[in-house]
Amino acid sequence: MDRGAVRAWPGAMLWAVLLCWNSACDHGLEARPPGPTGISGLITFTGERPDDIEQVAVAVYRETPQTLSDFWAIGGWDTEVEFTAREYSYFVPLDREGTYRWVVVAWRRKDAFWNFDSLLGCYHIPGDDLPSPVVVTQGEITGGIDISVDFEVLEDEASQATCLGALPPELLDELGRGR
Amino acid sequence: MLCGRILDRRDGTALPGATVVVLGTESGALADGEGRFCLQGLPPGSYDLLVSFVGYEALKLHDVEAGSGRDLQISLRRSSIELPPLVVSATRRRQAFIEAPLSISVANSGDIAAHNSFTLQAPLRYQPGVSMVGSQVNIRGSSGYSRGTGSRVLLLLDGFPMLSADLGDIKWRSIPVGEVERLEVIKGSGSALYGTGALGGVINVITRRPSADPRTRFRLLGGLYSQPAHESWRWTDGPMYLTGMDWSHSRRLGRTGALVSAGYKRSSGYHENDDFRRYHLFAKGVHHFSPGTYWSNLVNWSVDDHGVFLRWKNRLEPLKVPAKDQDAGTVSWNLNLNSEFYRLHNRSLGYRLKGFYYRTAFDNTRSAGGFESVGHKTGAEVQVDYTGWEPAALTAGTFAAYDLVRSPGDFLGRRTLLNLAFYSHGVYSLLPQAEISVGLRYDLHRRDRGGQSALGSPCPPSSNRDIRHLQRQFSPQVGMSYRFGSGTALRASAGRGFRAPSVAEIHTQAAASGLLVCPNPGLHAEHNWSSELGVRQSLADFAALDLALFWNTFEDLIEARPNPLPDAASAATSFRNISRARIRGLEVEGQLALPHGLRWRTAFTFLDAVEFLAPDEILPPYCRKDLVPGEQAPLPYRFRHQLTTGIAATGRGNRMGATLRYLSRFERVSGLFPECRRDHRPIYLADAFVGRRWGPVEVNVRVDNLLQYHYILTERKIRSMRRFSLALSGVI
Repeated sequence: MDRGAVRAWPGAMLWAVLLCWNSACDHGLEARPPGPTGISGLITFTGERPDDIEQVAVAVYRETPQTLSDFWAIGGWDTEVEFTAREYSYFVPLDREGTYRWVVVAWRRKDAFWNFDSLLGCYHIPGDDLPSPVVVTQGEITGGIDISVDFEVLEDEASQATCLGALPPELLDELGRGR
Repeated sequence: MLCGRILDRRDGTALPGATVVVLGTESGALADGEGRFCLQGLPPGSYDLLVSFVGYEALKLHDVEAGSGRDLQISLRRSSIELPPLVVSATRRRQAFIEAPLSISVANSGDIAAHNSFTLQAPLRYQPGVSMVGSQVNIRGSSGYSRGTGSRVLLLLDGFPMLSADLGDIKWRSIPVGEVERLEVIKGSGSALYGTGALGGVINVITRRPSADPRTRFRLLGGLYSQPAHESWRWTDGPMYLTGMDWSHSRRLGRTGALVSAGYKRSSGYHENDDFRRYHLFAKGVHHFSPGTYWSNLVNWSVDDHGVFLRWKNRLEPLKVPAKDQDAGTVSWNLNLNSEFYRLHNRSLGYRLKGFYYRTAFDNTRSAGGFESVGHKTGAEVQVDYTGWEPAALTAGTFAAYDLVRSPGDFLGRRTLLNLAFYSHGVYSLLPQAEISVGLRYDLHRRDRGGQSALGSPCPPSSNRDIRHLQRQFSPQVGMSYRFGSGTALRASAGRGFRAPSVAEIHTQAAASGLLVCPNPGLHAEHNWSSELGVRQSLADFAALDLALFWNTFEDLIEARPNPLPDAASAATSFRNISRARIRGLEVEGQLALPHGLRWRTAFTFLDAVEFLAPDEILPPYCRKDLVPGEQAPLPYRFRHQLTTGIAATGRGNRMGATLRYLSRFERVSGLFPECRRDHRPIYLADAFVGRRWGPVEVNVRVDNLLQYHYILTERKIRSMRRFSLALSGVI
């Protein structure tokens, strides 16, 4: 490398850095999801936690599922709920604004997989006997969507009546939860 | 004996260190301080020689007589363009780089060392048409991302297969980077020569041979990762570091040369629970019975104790792991024992006998629900090279390998696989400047019949009748290369490739992070037809351009896809043969020697990678907006555009350079996560390095991801952080 190279080098480096600066200087992935649009809230856990619980998630649905395949149509979810704590602040990023009619907390047993009707709770305003809809505006996080979970009533179907109440009877029959 | 002298064509000065190799054999020699060389032990007859030296254009000499007693006078022409002189992987024989009928990229030890990396993944990312998605290497779009199982690129270590018996993957961490002499990347199907796994290409890692003089090498490497660009992402206030040391000694005692090497690496990682400690031992011994006969043995052992970062805690804290994964970790061990005997029987006939054993094991009992698994791959090969029917050269051989996997019954169980193969490959020189090549390989794969799901598994039961336990494959290949005019070289090739599914792809049953993976005993081999047309043009000695058009069609491509379960309220993933896929594209590589010792190099790859969805295709749970059964869709995890451009200067012991890489946003991802491509971005990466040599000692300072650009390749895992590193290396 001769002296010319030493002189040429800063120019070459400047060229290289300028070339990508416009596109790369924003550091790529943002600190928060774009928008941000989504739902956040506090999950409060009570009761004795079963030993065989492996994972807890918050799932947000635009419409209440009407068929089995609708369970796949999840608008967004937070699969990393820390259920060992007494409280967990969740955030579910969403792609679109609108009304989301079913916000549920689901759980999964050890060595098992997700069953969509394995519910721990859902968002409903006290006094409502059905899940309450949540309105989301583009670019905003709709907060305060708090959900209470009582592990003691995990297997108590009556306590899940509120969360499952909006599902059609045929679907409940298919899930083995027919009334 | 064949002797001569190698000189600079312009001023007639001697070129000490220039190399002479006898093509089609393992013989070669280095020029001494006066440029003189002698090839000893060659049986009388005529040979083709390839003479090369750094900074000079390689020269091929035809039909040079050995034993005539006449000294050769060879003059080389200076060139500012660096091309590798020879390759061994394209035809299983030494041949001049420009005569290869396939596209090949080569990285030498200097290129590899400049990356200050612990693995070969970093230098591979900079090869034209090569990218990495996680630990999976992708040549011209052949691979996507299959969660670490199966590889559509075959990795060879000195020509020995290095895909594990259980997962069928590449253990990058087991390769001794410091002892690698060069990498050869063959683009396009290599199954006609190498069989299963070489569907998308072959990477041959060629390690150093023991040196003639006692030589000790060392490398000390240290580095720091920057804190993330976003303050809220910080997961530690402590330093995020990497450190490592390698030492090797090589010498020859009489007719036996030996090389031993040891290494230790440690890093905190830049994610939470992504730390590792690695130990490494490597030894190679070569005994020369005569100049044309040797016996080479290699031992490669490593242990890697590392944390596991599968996916982030959440999008707002993407460098942390979920609480349940904080103690997850794996210890893995790898061992290679390779042995090769080569004999040049006479001027026309040479043969080699090879045997190998490759053991991979892991223990992830640190993680909840963890277990131990071991894979053994044992094999042998006989290869014969014959050049008696001039102007043709013939290579033929037989290969056998036996795989045994032992793991818990609810993961893979005990599995066996037997592979027998016969291959032949011929090169015919139509003219001194033109060759055609034809190859054919027959492979027989026999796997055990066990295939049922474990008791209590939610996966659907399977019967022995589902199992394709015997499979036969024919892999033909034709190629052509032709040089004409002033520095123009044409190449064309077409071939069929295949990959037998790995044990893990067939038999895995596991539930992890809410995803259930079920076995598919009916899984069978995937195939492709790979074709390429390429031209390389050199302009004087200051520029070179390489253009390649390629077209690959795939059948029965193995991909992880949703699979309905009997209860219908849930779904599992399993590896399935999807109907068809097509990948076509072009690759352009240009090199330019600029004034003042500057060199500019650019490579661009364009891919059009689509899959033809079956009419009864089961779509993934998410990201299905543009997926219509019966119509075409982008193949997941492929970069449509890939650009690498770099400028570097070398001379007087100094070197410095900068590289920019651009990778376009994936057009499709797995569809197993609701956010789909929300967090995927186009990728812009800038790197820079400065190095200086003082006698036997060299310092290399490097900054990777200079602009601190954060991106993901697979869902929920940040892949990059700015890294400053300093390597101090030397040869004594």
